[in-house]
Amino acid sequence: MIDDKALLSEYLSESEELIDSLLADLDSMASRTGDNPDPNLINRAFRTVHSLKGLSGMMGLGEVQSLAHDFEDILDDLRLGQLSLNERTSSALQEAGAGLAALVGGAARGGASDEDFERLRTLLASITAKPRERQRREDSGFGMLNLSESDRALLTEYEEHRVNENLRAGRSFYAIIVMIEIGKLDRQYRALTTKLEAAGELITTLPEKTTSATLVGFKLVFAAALKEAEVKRITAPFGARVSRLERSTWRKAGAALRAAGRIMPGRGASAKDQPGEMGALLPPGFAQESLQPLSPSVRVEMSQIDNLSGLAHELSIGVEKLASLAETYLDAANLGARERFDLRFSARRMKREFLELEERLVGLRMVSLAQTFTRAARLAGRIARELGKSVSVEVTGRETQLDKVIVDRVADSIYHVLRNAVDHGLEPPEDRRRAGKPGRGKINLDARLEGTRAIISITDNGQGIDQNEVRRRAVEAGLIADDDILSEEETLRLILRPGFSTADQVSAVSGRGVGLDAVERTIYELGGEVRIASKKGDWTRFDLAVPTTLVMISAFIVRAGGWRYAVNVAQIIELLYVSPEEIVGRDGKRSVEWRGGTIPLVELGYTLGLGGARLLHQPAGQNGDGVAAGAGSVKIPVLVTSAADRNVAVAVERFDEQREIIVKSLGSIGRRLKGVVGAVDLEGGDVALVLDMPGLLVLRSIRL
Amino acid sequence: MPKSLNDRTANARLTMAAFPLELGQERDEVRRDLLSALIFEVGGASYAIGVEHTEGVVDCPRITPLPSPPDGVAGIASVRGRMTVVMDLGLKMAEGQPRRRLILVKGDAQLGLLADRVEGVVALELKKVLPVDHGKNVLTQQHAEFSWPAGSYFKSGRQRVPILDVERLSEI
Repeated sequence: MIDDKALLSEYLSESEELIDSLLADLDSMASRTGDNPDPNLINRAFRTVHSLKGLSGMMGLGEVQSLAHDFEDILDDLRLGQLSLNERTSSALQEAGAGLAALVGGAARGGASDEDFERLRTLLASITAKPRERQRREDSGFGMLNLSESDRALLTEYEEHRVNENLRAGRSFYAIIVMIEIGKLDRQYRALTTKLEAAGELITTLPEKTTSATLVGFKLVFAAALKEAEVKRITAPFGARVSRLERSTWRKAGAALRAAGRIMPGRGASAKDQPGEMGALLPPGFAQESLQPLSPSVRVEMSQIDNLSGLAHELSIGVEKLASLAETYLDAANLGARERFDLRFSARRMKREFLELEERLVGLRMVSLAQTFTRAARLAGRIARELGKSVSVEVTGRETQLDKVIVDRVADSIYHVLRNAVDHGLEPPEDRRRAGKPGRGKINLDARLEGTRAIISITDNGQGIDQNEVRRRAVEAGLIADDDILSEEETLRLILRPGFSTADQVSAVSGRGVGLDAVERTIYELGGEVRIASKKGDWTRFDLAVPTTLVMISAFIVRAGGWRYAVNVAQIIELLYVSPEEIVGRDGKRSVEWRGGTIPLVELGYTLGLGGARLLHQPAGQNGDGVAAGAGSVKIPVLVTSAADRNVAVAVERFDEQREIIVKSLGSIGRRLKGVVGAVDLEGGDVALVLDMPGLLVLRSIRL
Repeated sequence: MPKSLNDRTANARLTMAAFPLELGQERDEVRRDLLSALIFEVGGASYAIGVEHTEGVVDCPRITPLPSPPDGVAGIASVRGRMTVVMDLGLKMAEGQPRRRLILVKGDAQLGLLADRVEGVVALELKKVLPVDHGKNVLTQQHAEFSWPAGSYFKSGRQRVPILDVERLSEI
C-alpha cells in the first residue's frame, strides 16, 4: 500500500496509462490470433508489462511486481515463438490483463486480498500449463548473414528470433550505416527508424565507429521485402550507407531452398533438437537493455499550465500598456526617424509574440481522445457480453485533440451514449439475423473537427429509433400534446427530455432514471450540443458537438448589481431589449413573450443573490441603465438562454460588450461551485465571474 | 514535514504557551521539535496556520462575490494572475474592515485567508500542540464554533488558538 497521497496518484496515473495500453494491445492480439501474431504488438505489450513491473517494484508493491513478472514471462514466450497465440491463450491473457488492472489500484490503496493475487497467479500459471521448460535456441540462420562475431554477440535472443522469422519469410537483410550529429541525434534517429519501420522490420541498432567526435555512428540491421535500391532511396536523406547482409552464396542457396519449401527448420519441435550457434555468446539478461522507455515527454500538472497562461496574460497586458505609453511619448520625445521606427516595431512585435505565447500555452492543455476512445470501445465490448450481445467497435479520429478539461467532462457522456447504443440500439443476435443483418452489431466511434468544435459521433447499426413510439410515449408522459406537430428532429430530441425512456424495461446496464438528459445537460454546459439522427430498423447516430478549448471563449460581458459577469456566447440564444409593459406577472413568476411563445423571465442580480427585484420596479430612466426608448420608457436588456431544455429570459442591468476571454480556473474549490465555471481578469484589477447559465438557473431553482 | 498535525500531536500534553519569534526568521534555524506558525487575527479571534502551508501575505484586492458561496467563502480575488478563493473565518463576527490582508495558502485549492491583522510567526513546541476533538464536545461552545477548520490548537495565556488544518479548509 502507498501512503503518500501524491506518490499514490502519480503511481495510479502512470500505471493506468500502462494498463490501458496493455489492454488495448491484448484486445488487438485477440482480434487476430493465428500463426503469425504481429511482433510489434507483442513487443509493446511486453515492454508495457515490464515497465509496470519496474514501477510496482519501485513503489514496494511486491505482489504486483511478481505477478507482472509472471505476465512478462508469458509475453516473452509469445514473442520468442515458444508459446503460440491461439484463441484460448489470447482470451486468457485478456482476462489476466483485466485482473491485473483491478489489482493495481487495489494493491496501491491497500485493498487487495491475498485471494485476489492468488486467483491471478493461478490464471497466469494456467496459460503456461505445460511445465515451463525453455526451448533451446532455434537453429540460427546467422551463418547466412555477414555480421562480425562482435556484432553477433550484441544480438538478443529475441532479435535472433526475428532474424530467423524474417529469413523464413524470405526477406532481404541490409546493414544500414549512418552517422548522426550529436545535436540532431534524437530527431534524426527517430525520423530514420520511423521510415524504416514503415517499410520493414528494424531488427537491431548496433554501435558503429565514427570518424569525428561530434558524430554518433550506428549500424542498423534491417529486414524487408525490398530491393537494395529501394532501401537506399529511403535512407539517402540521412546520408546512410547500405549494404546487403546475406553472403552471396547463401543468397542463392536460400532462394533455392525457399523454392523447394524447405527453408530452415526451427519452428515447433524440430527446433528443440538443434542447439543454437549463438547461445553461449549472449550475455545473460541482455534483453533488458533495450526496454528502458525513452519518453520524450514530461508530465506537468494542469495547474502549472494555468499559472503560466495566467502569467503570460498578465505580461501581455503589461506589454499592451507599455506599447501605448510608447505611442504617447513618441511625439513628445526628441527622437530620430530611425528610433521611432525601432520603438514602434519592437512594441508591435512584442504584442504579437505574446499573443502567440498565449495561444501556445492554450495548446499545451490539448490532449487526444485516444485514451477515452480506447476505454469506450472496451466498455462497449464488456457491456455487450453482459447483455448476451456481440459488437465490434470501429474507432476513427482518435487523434482529435481537445482541451483536457473537455475530454474529461465529455468522457462520461460518450460512455453513456455507448451504453445506450449497446443496450437499446443493438438488437439481440437472433433478432438481427431475422432482420437479415449479421448477428454481430457494429458501433462506429468517430471524432472530427468542425471549425472550433469537435464532433464526436457514436453510430450503431441497430434497430433505429421508432418515431411513432417516441411520439406515443411523449404524449403519454405529457411532454407534448396529442396534436402538436413536430419535425423529425424535434421528435427525436424528445428522447433527451428528463424522464423519457423508450426501453420497455429498465435494464441493469442503462436506463435507470438517469437518462440521456444528463448527456444533453453536460454537453450544453460545455457550450456544445447533442444532435440525433436515425433510420428506423437501420441505424442511430448521436453527435456530441463540443468546443475544442474551454479556456479561450467568446463571452458577452453584462452588468448586474454593480458587478460585471461574463456569459459564454454559446449559451446565449438571443440578446434583446424588453419594455417593462411587455413583462407579465410579478414576484418570481414573471414571463415575457418571445418568438411566439411565453418564457419565464428572471433577473440576473436576483439569481446571483445580489438583491431583489429592484431593476424591474425602477421608474423609467432613473438610474441611467438600459436604453431610453422614447419618452419616459426604459428598455430592459435581456438575454435569452436555455436550461433543462427550456428557454429563459434573463434580465441584466446593462450589456457591455462581446470579447474573447481566457477563463481562469478557480482551483479545486472552484470546481465545486455551481453556476460559475471560472473567472476572468478585467482592466482595473476587476474580476468578472464566468457564469454557467444553466447551472446557475438550476441552482437557484428557477421555475422553468 | 509530517502530513497531519493530528498525527504528531495525538498524545501531546498541554503545559505552556508559545515562544514568539521574529518574522522572517530563517526556517533552517527552527528546531525539529518546533512548529512554525503564522498567527493572525480575524473577526476578533486569533488563528494559527503552519508557515509551510502558506505562500505569502498580500493586501487583499477587491473581492468579487460568488453566487451561493459555501460557508466562510467571501468571494474571488485575482492575486498574482491567479484566481484566489477568499475565505473569511470571521464572517459571522465582524463586518468588513478597510485594509485587510490576505494569507495565500499553498495547494490546488487556490485559497486565501482574510486577516484583519497578521501578528507574526511563532515557534510552537510540538508537545504543546493539542488535537481538537471534533467528536466529543469538550470545548466551550464559542470555541467549537470558530475552530471547525482546525485539527489542533495551542494555548496562549487563557486563550485557545486553533491551528488551521489546510485539508479541512480545502474541503469546504
